[in-house]
Amino acid sequence: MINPKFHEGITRRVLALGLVVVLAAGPALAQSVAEVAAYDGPDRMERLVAGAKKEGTLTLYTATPVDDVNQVIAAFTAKYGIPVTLWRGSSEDVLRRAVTEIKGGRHDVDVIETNGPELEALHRENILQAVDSPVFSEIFPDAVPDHREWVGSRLNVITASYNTELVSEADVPKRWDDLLDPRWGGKIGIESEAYDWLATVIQSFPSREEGLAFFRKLAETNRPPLHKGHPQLANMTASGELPIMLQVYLYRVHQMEQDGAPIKALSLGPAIARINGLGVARTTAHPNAAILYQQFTLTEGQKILASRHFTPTNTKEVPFPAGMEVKVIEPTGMLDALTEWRETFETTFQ
Amino acid sequence: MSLHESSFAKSVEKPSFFGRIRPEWLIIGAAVLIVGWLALVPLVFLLWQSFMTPAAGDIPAIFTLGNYVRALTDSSILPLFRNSVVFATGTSCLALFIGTLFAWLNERTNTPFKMMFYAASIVPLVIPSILFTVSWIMVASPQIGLFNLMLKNMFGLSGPVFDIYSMGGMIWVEGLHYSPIAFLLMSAAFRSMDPSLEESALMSGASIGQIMFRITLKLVWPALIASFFILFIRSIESFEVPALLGMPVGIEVFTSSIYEAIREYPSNVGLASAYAVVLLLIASFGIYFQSKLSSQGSKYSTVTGKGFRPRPFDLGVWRIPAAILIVLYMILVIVLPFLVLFWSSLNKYYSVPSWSALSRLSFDAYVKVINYPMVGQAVWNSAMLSLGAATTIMLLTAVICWIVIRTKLPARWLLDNVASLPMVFPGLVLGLSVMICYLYLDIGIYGTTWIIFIAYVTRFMPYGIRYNTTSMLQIHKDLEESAAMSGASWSQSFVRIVLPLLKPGLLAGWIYIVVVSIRELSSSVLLYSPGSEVVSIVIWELWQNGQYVELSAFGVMMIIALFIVVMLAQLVGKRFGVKEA
Repeated sequence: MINPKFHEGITRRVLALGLVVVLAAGPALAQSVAEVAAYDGPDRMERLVAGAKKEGTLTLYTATPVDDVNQVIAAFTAKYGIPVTLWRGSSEDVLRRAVTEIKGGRHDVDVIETNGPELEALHRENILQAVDSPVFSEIFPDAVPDHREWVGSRLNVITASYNTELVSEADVPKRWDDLLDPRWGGKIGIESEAYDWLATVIQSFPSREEGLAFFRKLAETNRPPLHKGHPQLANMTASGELPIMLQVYLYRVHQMEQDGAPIKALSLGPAIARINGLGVARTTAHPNAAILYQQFTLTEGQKILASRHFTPTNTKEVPFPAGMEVKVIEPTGMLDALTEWRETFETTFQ
Repeated sequence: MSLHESSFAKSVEKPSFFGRIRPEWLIIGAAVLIVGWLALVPLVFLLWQSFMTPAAGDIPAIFTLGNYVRALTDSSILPLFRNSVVFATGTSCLALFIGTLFAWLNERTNTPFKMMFYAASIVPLVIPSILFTVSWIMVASPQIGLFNLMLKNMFGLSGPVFDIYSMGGMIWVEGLHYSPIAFLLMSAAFRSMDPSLEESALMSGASIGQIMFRITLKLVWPALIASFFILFIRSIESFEVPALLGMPVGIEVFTSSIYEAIREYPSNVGLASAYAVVLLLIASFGIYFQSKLSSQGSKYSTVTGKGFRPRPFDLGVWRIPAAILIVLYMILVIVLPFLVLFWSSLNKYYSVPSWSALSRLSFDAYVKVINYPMVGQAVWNSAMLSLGAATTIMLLTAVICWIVIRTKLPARWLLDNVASLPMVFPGLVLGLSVMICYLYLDIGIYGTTWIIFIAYVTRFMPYGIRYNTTSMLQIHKDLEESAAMSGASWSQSFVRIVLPLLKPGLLAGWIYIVVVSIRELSSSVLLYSPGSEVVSIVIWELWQNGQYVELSAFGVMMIIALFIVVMLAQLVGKRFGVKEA
């Protein structure tokens, strides 16, 4: 006698497999993706909207926090009546999943939204479709690569921060050199994988060598501990674990300040920013909806992103805060030199 | 102990494949095929990848030995490996000591609060690693740690007493976190032990200490070895504790090399696989050593045909110190982290407990978590997946263990080894192998919850093997032989004799797999699709966004829910199998 539970389990599994096999048949492409992407006639928007409504659905892979991206999606669906299926992972997971699936012949994804270097990797993997859109001219120039296969939609600004209860107004460091003061011995936290930050921040020093020399000196004199994860760094500033942190996300600082946490952003030179953006998959079955979503994120979506404390890239929709100086982490450079910068980072801080 | 072999055992040794196919061989054959398929998919992928260069853009992957050369000759790996071994050894010893002591008190003695303690002792395992570690930062960090602040204020000390950011701190936190693994396995072993040997020793005038070391622990030797093995492998693989506690003081471990290799562009899965193959060889040695134990036959069997009745041991006056010890443990390892989490969940932002923060407390985080996108779906999926995977694994591996221990089939040790290997695969590599396998082998499970189910069964199968093996070693084969003599078929004796006697191991393994599969992240993150989200994805999402308060609230709810599940499993378990005296 076979154990009945065991038997039942197997039967159910076999049945379910059969059902799924029957249902998994993909729709054929109606209109060439490249044609839709290149069209720039005066009725571009009307055609996109009409085409998108016919396509009726959209799948988005994103590295943007669910809470935030859901607001953009909700507004998009409310305006055009097109429901969006969402998959969320880390920037690397988004890259890995999109590449593996598309190479394996599975074309579920229509729009891919992730961090700059990963988007650039998608470009190299021939996953993305170049798009022509008049809105690109309104975007912050560093956020539109020449190949137009993806476009930046928001900047994730990385800033230093301090705990307002542990650091008095008078003691707040104002220049990089202030961090060398021995009073900060062991009290400045550094993110343990801030390779791209280091690569970019030393550009604001007179030379690369001087920049690296400064951080080596900081490491020798004040031995800053390394902690993992930008959000955790922000939490640790607020809890008083460490009074100063060099890399936290600006939007997190604003959100926490709003909740009453004793944390403030600290400016020691230009802010460093990661570009996050989105591109359309070449293999999309919903080219109109995909391009329409990209367009929406770069126009009306920008105000929603700003309300979530992000820094939008469309400076015509939402101008940069007055006096804000931003240095953008260069995606191509980071993609090619990540390992090299990791080594530089490790020899500097460990 | 009877050693003569019955006709039943003989029939197993000389399989009658060629005569007529008996129904049990269908079940046994199917179990072997399923386990073989599940374990070989990632193994083949891992070996294949370890010989390939990374593919990027138009450059295809080609054959190389470079990954092994780099993995084996990179001198910077050595110190990391040394750290890993120190950390894993320390963690395993601490967890094994704590787990064994409390399992013994709970199962073999008449200490008070037993039932409650069994369920409560699972709590550290339920708390996601990140949360458990962060609660200990709040308790013992030199800057903000509660203990340090309290001791400073009480004795006017200038510096901190405890420093959680150290190898000692890492071992302490991980050891406490993993102690339930040892507790569950050792409990199962103690529960299946015939007390008559201990009783005879007691009557001959042996002390409790003598009985414990010279009889009890010797009889559960296979369980001790299995626990140590599982603990060691788990702590070698562990990522959160070294990242949160070791990194700030420059203690790096081996796993970070695997992680770095995967993070490169193009992702160097080949190098990560080569590292994993090295770990695999070390683990195979451990598994081989364990299978030697299993081949020693009835040496550890105490569950025989002769009136087996597990009965607790009277501690006498020692009941009171034992009770105090249990209460202390509960406060330190269970109540304290739970209270820290509960406190965090009532705050508006990450902060240390203090009087001044009392005014800010609210239940907002709970409301937010309940209304969080995908939470309902994720909880449902995780519940189905973890219950389904745990039940499937325990039944499947019961058959496999029976083959390994009871039959004399050639190459049965290989079956044990192959089924145990997924324990050593890095979660992400395992996830990737399952993903690629079912992407190309299009049988319609890609993108559904079934693919996660397959990954969980593969990943946690080794634990089922270890839990079942240790329990099965304790059951003497004469019980099955008597059943066969009385005319029972294989299936009848398996379902009505073997499974009920295996109950302690089955239940402990089942609970363990339910809990760890709810927490599984590294494979799930690649395999989930819209609609098949799981709980660990929600935890990851909250942690990624720095929503520590909501994460604590989620953790508190998870602990309460799983505590209830374990209590229920205990109650149901009591109604089946061997009645306790």
